[in-house]
Formats: sequence, C-alpha cells, structure tokens
Amino acid sequence: MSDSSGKPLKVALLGNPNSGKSTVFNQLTGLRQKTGNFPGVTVDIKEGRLRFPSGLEAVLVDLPGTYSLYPTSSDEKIVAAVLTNPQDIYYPDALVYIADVTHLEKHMLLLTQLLDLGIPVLLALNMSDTAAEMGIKINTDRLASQFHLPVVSISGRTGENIQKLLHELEKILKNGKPFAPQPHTVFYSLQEQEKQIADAVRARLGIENEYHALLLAHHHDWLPFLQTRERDTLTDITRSREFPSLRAQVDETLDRFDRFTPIIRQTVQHTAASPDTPTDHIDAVLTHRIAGPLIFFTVMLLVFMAIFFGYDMTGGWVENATGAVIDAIGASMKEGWLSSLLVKGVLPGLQGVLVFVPQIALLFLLITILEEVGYMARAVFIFDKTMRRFGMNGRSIVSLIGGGACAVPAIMGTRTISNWKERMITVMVTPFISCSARIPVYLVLIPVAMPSSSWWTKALVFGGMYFFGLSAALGAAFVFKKVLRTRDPSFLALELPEYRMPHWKNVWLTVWEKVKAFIAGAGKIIFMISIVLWVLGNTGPAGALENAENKARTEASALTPQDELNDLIAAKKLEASYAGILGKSIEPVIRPLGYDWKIGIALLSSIAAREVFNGTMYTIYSLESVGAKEEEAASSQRPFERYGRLRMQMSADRFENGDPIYTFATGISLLVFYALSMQCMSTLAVVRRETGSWKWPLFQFFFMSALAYLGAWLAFVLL
Amino acid sequence: MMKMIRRQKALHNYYAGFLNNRYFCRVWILSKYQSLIETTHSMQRRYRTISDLRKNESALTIAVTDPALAGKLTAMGVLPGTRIELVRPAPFGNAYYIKVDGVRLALREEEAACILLEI
Repeated sequence: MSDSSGKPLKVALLGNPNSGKSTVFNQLTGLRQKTGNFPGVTVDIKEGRLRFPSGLEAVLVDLPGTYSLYPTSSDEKIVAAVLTNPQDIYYPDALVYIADVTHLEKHMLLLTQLLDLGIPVLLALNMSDTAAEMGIKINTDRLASQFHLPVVSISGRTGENIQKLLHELEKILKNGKPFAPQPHTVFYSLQEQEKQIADAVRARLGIENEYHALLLAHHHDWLPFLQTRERDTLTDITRSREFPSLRAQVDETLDRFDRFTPIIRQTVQHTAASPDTPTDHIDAVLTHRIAGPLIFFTVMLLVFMAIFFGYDMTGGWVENATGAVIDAIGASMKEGWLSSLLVKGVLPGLQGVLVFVPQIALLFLLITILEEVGYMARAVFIFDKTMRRFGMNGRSIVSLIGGGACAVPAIMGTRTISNWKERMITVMVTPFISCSARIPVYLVLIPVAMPSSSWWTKALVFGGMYFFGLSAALGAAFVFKKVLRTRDPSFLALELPEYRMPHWKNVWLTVWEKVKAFIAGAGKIIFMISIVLWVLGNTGPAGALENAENKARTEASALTPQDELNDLIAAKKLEASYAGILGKSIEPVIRPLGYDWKIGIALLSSIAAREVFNGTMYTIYSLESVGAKEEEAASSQRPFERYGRLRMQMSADRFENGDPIYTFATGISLLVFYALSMQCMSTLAVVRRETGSWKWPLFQFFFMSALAYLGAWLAFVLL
Repeated sequence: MMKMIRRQKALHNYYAGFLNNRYFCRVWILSKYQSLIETTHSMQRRYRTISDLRKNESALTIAVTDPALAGKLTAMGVLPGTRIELVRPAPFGNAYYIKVDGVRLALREEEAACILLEI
C-alpha cells in the first residue's frame, strides 16, 4: 500500500547514540538493506524494506543517532535537516523511537521533541532483557497514556517482541496521522518571544506546526534545503527580535526535562540497586593510566598482524586462485589483442578488486567487534589529547595502524569518525603510512642504493622507511589541522557505553555491507583505471608495436633461446607503447631526481599499484620470464637477497654518458619518492567513495606527488 | 603539585574571563541557579570544577558556563542538580572519565572546566 501520492510509505528509526538502534534495524530488515549516502555529506544512511504480516510494505530508514534536534556534528545535523523538511526523500510517515530502558530518563528528551513536531511516533523500549536482569520494572501502560503514544518493550539482541513492534507500527501507518499534536499533548510550551518568532515563521513560510517553525528559526543559517528567499526571511525574523538561539535551546531542554522527569520517575521502578557493574571493573583496567595504553597498543598490534598476515594467507590465496583462472582462460584462447585485453587488462582488473576483499572483511570484522563491545569509545577517550594535536581522533589510530597493511580498508574504516575535519585528515594522511605494497619496492631499491652495506644497515634503512612514512603522515596532519576549516565545533563530550558481548548479526552485516560497498563503489573505478593502464601499456602509435617486435627479432641472433627472445620483444614493445612514450617524455621532468626514462615508465605504471614497479622493471630490462621465477622464489629467500637478476641489471645500467644510473643518491631519492607519492588507484577510488567527490582524491594525488617530487629532489641533491 | 598548577590555571582562566568584559557578555549561567552563583561570586570562590575532585569523589552540578557546550551537555543529561562523579582522569591527561546518573561520559579539560560544582 502506498499513500495517496503513490510514494512508498517511509518509517524512520531514531534514537540516542548507544540506544541499540542499529541492532533493531538489523532485526527488522536483515539482508534486505542497502546503504545510501545523504546528499552532500558522507554519512551512511541505511535503508531496508519492511514487510508487515498483512502484506503492507514500507521503507525503513536508519537515521544517525542524536541526543536532540539541536545538533553539534554533521551526523546529527542530518536528523534535524530531514525532520524539518517534509519534502525530503527520507521524511518519514511514522517514526520508531528506540530508547534504552536502563537509562530511560536520558533518552526521553529527543522523543518529546519528536512528539511536538507532530510526526506519529512509536516508542520501543529496547534492552528489556537487560532491564529485567537489573531489576528495572516499567509501567508501559502508564507511559503510553502519559506520552499519548503506543509503547512496546522489545529486545534488539534476542529479537523479543519484534513482531509486536511491527504490528503496532502497522496500526499507526494504517490510521494515517492520528497524532496531530493537541494543545494538551505538546511537551514544551514556547516562551513569549519564541512564540512570536514561531508565529511569524508560520505566517510567512506557511508552516503549520509551531515547533517546526521554531526549529527553522533556530537552524536557518545552515539548513541545506532552505531557499535564499526563505533563509533571508528567517534571518530577518530572528534578527529583528534579537533571538538568543543558544540560550533558548538550553532553556527549552531544561524545561523538557522538568516536564518528563516526574513522569519517568513514576513509571520506572528500580527494585534492586546495582551500583557496581562489570563495566566499572573492566574500565579500571582498560582506562588505567599505564595498563590502558599498553592494552590498546597490544590490541592494535593484533589488528595489524591479523591484516598483515591475513593478507599473506587470504590475499595470496585469492591472488593465486584468480591467477590460475586467468592463466587457464589465457591458455584456452587464441593469441591476439582480444585475448591480451581479456587476460592482461580486464581479468587482472577484476583480480585487483578481489584481492582487497579479504583485507576489508578482516579489518571490518575487527573494527566492528571493537566498536560493538564498546572499546572504541575508550580508545577515543585515552588518545584524545595525543591525536588532537594532529587534528585527529582516537579512532584515527586504528586507521593509521591498519594503513600499515593496506590503506584501502583503513580509509574505509574512517566512517566511524563523526567529526568531518578529523575524518578528512585521517583519510588524507593514511596513505603516507608504509603499506605492504611498498615492501617489494623497498626490497629492490635498498640493496640497489647501498650494495656494499651490511644487512643490518639495510634493515635499519628498511625500518627507517616506516618511521619516515609515519612522520610524513603526522606532519601532513599537523598542517591540515591548521589549514582545514570547519563549522562544527570540536567536542569530546562522548558517552562511554556499557561493555557488552558483540551482537554477531550486526558484525556480519557490517562486514558484508562494507565488502559490497567496496566492490560496487570503488571496484568499478579500479576496474576502469586498470583497463586504461592496459591500453597505455599495450597499444602504441600505428605500427610502432610491430616495428618494435621486428627490431627485437633482428637484434636477437638465431641462437637466442625462445624465452629470451620473448622477453626482448616484451621490453621493446613496452618501450614503443604509449606508456613508454609517456615515460620518455617525462624524462626531462624526472632527470633532476636522477631518474632515466625506464624509471619514468615504472613510475607511471605504478599508479596502478606500487608493487607494479618491480614487474615493469623486469619487463623493461628484458627479464619478464626471469621475473616470474624470482617472484616465486622470493618467499624462501632472505629479504635483501630477493630479485637478484633485476638488481644486477639495474646496478649495471648507465646513462648515455656512461655514469651509473643507480647511485646511492638515486636509490634513496626513489625510496623517498615511493614513501611519499600517491601511487595507488585503489586508494584513490576508495577516497573518492568515502569523500563523495573527485575533489579530495585529486587533491590528495597532486599534493602527495608534489611532496614526493620535492622530497626525492632534495634527497638526490643533498646526497 | 600538578593538580595545584592545574587548579591555579583553571581559576585564573575563570577570573580572567570575568574581568574581560567582552567575555563576560558571553558567559551565561544556567538560569535556575543564577542567583546562587551571583551571591557565591561576591563571596570569593564557592564552587569547584571537575578538576578539583579527587578520584571517585562526587559533587552536585550547579551550572554550565558555556552556552554552546551547555546545549550539548544538558542534552546528554548533565543538568543542574545532578551528581557528577569523577571516575578517573585520562591516562595522558587533558580529559576526564565521569559518571552522571549511571551514564559514563568522557569530557575534555576545557569542557569540564565549564561545569561548576557545589562545594
């Protein structure tokens, strides 16, 4: 059934943070949900389908948690923006308000505001199972009659009474709007000045509800849907009356508390006093002066190892399995440009998307468990001071550490940071952290830069690269903190929820949703860029590739084995392709860094992913077939002894004037370049998805490249 | 020692705020306890802040001095007349773990300094 205009019925789920709202949402919708983006801001809005026993259908929207309709963060602003705009696509026909029974008094403020707005509300008292354990008794009938709304006791965790909730909700939807606020049901009676303002707004903007009008007056300077004319009118009304918005908000809040607190005290009965909960005992250790940070870093080390080694195991497995499929397809097809496009362009593109899936799943499994248990709020509390220096938040640490394995899941993990500026800074600086894709590049470059040094000097430089990346991240964060402007005030004021077991359904659904979002959002972009890069590397000006192949054949003698001939052809072809031409054309630009055109080609192809550097180098030095063998042997070799033939060829290479290309300075310069530059299309694709526009990933690409160029140049000149 | 310095700092900030006329216009004290505060003000300092509390000590809230923060804190349940308990300061300082009516909150030092407590 739909309403008269033919639009589907909309129900919104609302409540304070930590009210267990998402658990109820998952109970109600299960897998029938998808995540959308509120226009303009990157805050997830989840939508799901509700099917009532009678066959009635509705869309359920999960709005961000907030304490009141006077928001202080961009998440909370969405709630006020949706509920004050009846034209909004998320504007609900009815609301389900989720309140935590164990702290009912604290959860009633927003409910009374919603009631005054005149949207039909159903009150769901969540955590009824915990309340029973704690000896809390609620007189729901009394609550229902005092607040003039239907009340259902439910438990999101056990699923208790969810059917009853659906039943009550259906009644509301079928009755239309039974709760047009009557004078006696309005919770807050406006002060004299507020009334004048509300009346003026109602008259001039044609708004019916008094509280709705008042909210528009409070929020007129930021509500996104207001037209210029409406905004001017509202500014006019509030200015001419010198409306003290902030003060009025607090007065209203206090008045509401005065009104509903006695009612709650009458309806809630605490049969047993429970002063000490397990949470107090756990927090005595987890937020302890010394033990707290130590435990946090131990947990983070575990998270890091899980992703790092988890990638070796799972990512490696995915890579091998998909690689085998690609080889099989390649073998079964006739050689030609079509098979080349498929085997070297399209399928590796798909593979490049799939290899990230295990890492994303693993990181979100761990983050969601930590978040569900209630530990993340403690991390924010402990590291607030430290991270605020760099404009970030305790949750950012998880992303920075996750970035040590791979920036892609780490950046997706920044969604839980609710402050816009803190989230953007974390997204911007996470790619500086040395990820696992840089390791093979470092392992080639370090021995090339310092061939005669002892292994521990090389190991020290290797460790130094991690330190360098971390310093770059924190330094950049510090600069962003000074430069970025935000309207949101920075608050900590954070609720530390009770510890509880994770609700596994929430965990699985989050992991599933993140993997889906990655494949659908970033996967498309990664796939398209890999095809573009394939075209660049495998096509050239008319006839150029054929010429290159012929030249290679004439250069080779009859005695040259087939393998070496193929390698030579591959090298010549790459040189003649558009990528080769581009690499050569940027040589003047990278010459000041000590690089030649071969490095230029490698740098360009590394935009796909940093580790492609090695593969490209193998091809350029006519070692394609050797490369495959050396990559395979690498895992059984000691770190700085890997990729032997490649390193030999590189070290032996000279400029035309006979100077060696790979000196100590060039090597270090390249290391610096790889540490700082943004050569990872997957990260760019994810940043695009997480920030909602191309502005940020492009900015990130250019500023990191510029920094890398500058750093590499300095390194080359100084050394 | 550290605590004394912090106290001095908070105290200094507070009085500096009142002396600075522009700031004084912005300072606004939750209505209900206004008279109480006005009288206490004339008689030296008769309030504390969270930084004056010892671990596990609690005190009644009388007011929140910053209007922007007052909106946020009242919505979270820090109202005049509620009892605030200091559970412990943050490991690296600059923040407090408090308990209000069974709800646990983390507050920054500046945020905590805006909450005036009864002696």
